Amino acid sequence: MSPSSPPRPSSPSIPPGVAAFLQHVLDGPTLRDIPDGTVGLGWVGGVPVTVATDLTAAVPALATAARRATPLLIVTAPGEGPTAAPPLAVGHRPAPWVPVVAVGRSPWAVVGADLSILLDADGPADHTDQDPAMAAGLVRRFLGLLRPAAASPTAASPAGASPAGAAPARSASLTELVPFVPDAPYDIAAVLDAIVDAPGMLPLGERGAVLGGLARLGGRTVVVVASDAAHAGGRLDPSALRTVARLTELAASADLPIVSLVDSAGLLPAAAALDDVTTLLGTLGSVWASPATQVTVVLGRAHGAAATVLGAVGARADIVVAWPRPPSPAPTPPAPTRRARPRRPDPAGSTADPVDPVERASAWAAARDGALLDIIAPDETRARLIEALDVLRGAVAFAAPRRSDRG
Amino acid sequence: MPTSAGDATDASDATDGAGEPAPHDWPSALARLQALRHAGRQMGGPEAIERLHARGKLTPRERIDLLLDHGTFRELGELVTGTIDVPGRPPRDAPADGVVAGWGLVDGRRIIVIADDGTITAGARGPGGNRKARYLRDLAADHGYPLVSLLESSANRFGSMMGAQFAGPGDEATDGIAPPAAEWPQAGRSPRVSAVLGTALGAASFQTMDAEFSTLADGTAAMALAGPPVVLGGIGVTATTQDLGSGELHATITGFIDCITPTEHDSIAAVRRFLGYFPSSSRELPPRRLGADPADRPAPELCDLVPLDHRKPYDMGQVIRAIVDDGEFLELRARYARNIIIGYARIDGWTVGIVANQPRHLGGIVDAKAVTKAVRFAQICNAYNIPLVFLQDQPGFVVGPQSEREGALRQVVRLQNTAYSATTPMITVLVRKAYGYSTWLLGGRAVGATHVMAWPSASISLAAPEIGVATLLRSELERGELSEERQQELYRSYRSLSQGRWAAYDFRIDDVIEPQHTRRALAGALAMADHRRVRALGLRRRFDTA
Repeated sequence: MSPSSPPRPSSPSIPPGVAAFLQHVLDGPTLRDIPDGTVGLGWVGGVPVTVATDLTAAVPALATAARRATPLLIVTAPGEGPTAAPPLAVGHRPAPWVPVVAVGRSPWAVVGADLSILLDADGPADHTDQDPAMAAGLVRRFLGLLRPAAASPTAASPAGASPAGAAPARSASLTELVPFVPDAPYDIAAVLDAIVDAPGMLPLGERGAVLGGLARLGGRTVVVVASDAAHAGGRLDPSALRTVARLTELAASADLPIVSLVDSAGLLPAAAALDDVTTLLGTLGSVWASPATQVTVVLGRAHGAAATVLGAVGARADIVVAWPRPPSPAPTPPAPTRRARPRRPDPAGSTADPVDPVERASAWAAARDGALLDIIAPDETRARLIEALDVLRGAVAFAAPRRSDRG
Repeated sequence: MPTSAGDATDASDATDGAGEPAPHDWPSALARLQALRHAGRQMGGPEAIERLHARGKLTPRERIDLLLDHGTFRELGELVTGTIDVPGRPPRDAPADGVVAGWGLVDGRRIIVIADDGTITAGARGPGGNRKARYLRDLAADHGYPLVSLLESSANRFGSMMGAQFAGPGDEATDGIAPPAAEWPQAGRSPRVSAVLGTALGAASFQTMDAEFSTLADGTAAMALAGPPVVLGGIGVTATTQDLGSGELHATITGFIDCITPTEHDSIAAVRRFLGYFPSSSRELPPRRLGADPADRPAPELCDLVPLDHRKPYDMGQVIRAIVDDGEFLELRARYARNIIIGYARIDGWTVGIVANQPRHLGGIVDAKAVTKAVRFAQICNAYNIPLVFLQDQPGFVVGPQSEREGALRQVVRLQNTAYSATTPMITVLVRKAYGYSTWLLGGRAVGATHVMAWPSASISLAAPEIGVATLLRSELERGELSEERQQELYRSYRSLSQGRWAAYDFRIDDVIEPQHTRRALAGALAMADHRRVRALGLRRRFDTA
């Protein structure tokens, strides 16, 4: 790239609104190779980025970005769309996977992107009502998170020590932020700020009972999925399920680990209705098929299908630990209608009392049985997560089949 | 910290599901956590620990402390608690359910460790312990970490395996049955180490036989297919565990164990040494550790150590130690098939696997036992991209009726197939005798050796000159037409033609080197061959059982 290149964002073929945004986001006037003004190459925070400035060029631009192995930035002008179909929401992404960022003024123009931003407009997108400067900041941060950290930890760190320069966004004791009693509300965003590196998490996905996004933890980029107990007890609704599925797919595509914080009383009754079964099954399918590594911390409740979706039970997560909060009564399961399997007679004639199902839901009982790897003090969470991510970083060493048989 | 009444749970008389009063606020919950961890670390209690110490044995936590870098152990499943349910006695808790396990560092590199607890039911695992061991075994396999098992028993509790449920592994965690072949999928992926520190029977012995490295503490440990009660019940023979699988037996008769050590401390030290030579997985190259020993250090003592007279024995072990970095050599199976030496060392910081004939025993002849010992070692080195250095001084394969009956032919072909399929660099020094087909198979050019060098003392031929004379002139000898003069003439001729320089003239070997510069020559050959190892990364190669 020659430093004397003309400032192409101001090219007459690019709509003024798009050019204005590009001037905010690009590293100087460096957009090149736009024979028809629709596809070019620029730099954002030092990252080479393929840029499309016309919604009809989004799909060919995606192929170009994949060929160049660069992220794709789609910036569209007001009034664009609808095309025949939202360009990013249909079809398969070409290989290799590259992140797609869409910035526009219409939901139609940004749907399906890995980061969707609406300029001065509201609607279904990751970030809405942004001015160009704020949107440019979000794009830079997103692309920066998908780059390896400059000071990525290398040495094995059993104590989970943060590498130099990595500190949590908020310095607070998690036992101060989270009440001990299970049903008391707390601010999951504050909890996340006390766990992940500053400046905190970049939110992605729909607002609902799940807060998700990208963050760095000990210098390593992670996908965060956290249920929000203050939002209907953390019960997952269809939008939360969609967020989990989307973030799980992003983790798999970008080869990022998932950190899941679970405090959920199950599914919202609506989500269990027939209309939403497809969403639930689709989410479960995405979760189970994902090769991404996952570390789960159970902050409180992990009930029903939500526990499976969020990786608190089953074989989805590689490491599951819990805080020592007390159990809260889970919904009483319906009486079994299937004939119970005959129990093998115990020659020792054990007369152990049956355990109360509510008591069995406690982390203490799970840890005693070995169903949980450990119970940790809340203030150990950050260090233990950093350590766990360090242990799991070699996950690509062998393409093992999904550990569906792991106990 | 919220401790107000509003924060407290109202179910003050509730239990927590683990049989204890439920904590009612953060301070009590955290105190409970600390108390449980402390209780788990007491293992079977002071008396059980004392009994173990009195037998010269260590607790699993003491063993782990010896194994890992200080302060690096992260225990997993620390709160798991099993139940020891003996008829006629009240049930009691089994802290950690008989298995202390987690991860930690050895020389700064992460490993997974699983240690049986001899203070609880003699080290037999409960379901929770099995679940932990299985989880960590999978973690090591999936993420490419060495897995070290410090075995005290690793047997399942016998009663739990009686009955038709034994037909299949089913739910290992529930049934308490670990499938014996569960270790096999990890073969050739990341190193597995078995330190037999108690009585390894059944599945534990299978696991040890499949491990890349094994040790056994002599006197306090034993390994066998089945223990004394099963032997007595099965065939009516009374035997102790030492009769069935002592260190002496495995050192000299079976050769199943890599290092028989006098104490547990030595066993664990051997494990640390082994791990230092190996990569964490076969997707990585072994760590190179440059020390103070220069690569071009001459070793003039080699000319004194090796007599020119081929009939005079010497100790090849001394030759090896004169060549390798700082004289450090981890010899394996030292008392089994002593006519061949195998082990790990470093040359110019590179990890190498050394296979050397030992002229001090049976003249260094290659017999079925020697091949058995060498083949698996070569396969393991190949699986982990560790270059093989052969030091040859051997008169060929042993022949004769006994050798044929012992199945030498099968072992020869195993060696052939192993050598031909090796992708790791093979570098060979022909020290003295290099006779017969074994010259090819022990790192010869014919099987793709990267570099073959000879000392001036080397003699290379299909057979020793005297055997060549006797074979070729047999009919003249039988007819009584062979004169002593002709016999000597032919012998001298063969002797001359066998000199290594003739092979160098034809470029059938790379060079004839001065013995004192063997180390420098090997270091140079290793550096040149490095690209070959990088090419082979990611190939998964399995190996035989011990």
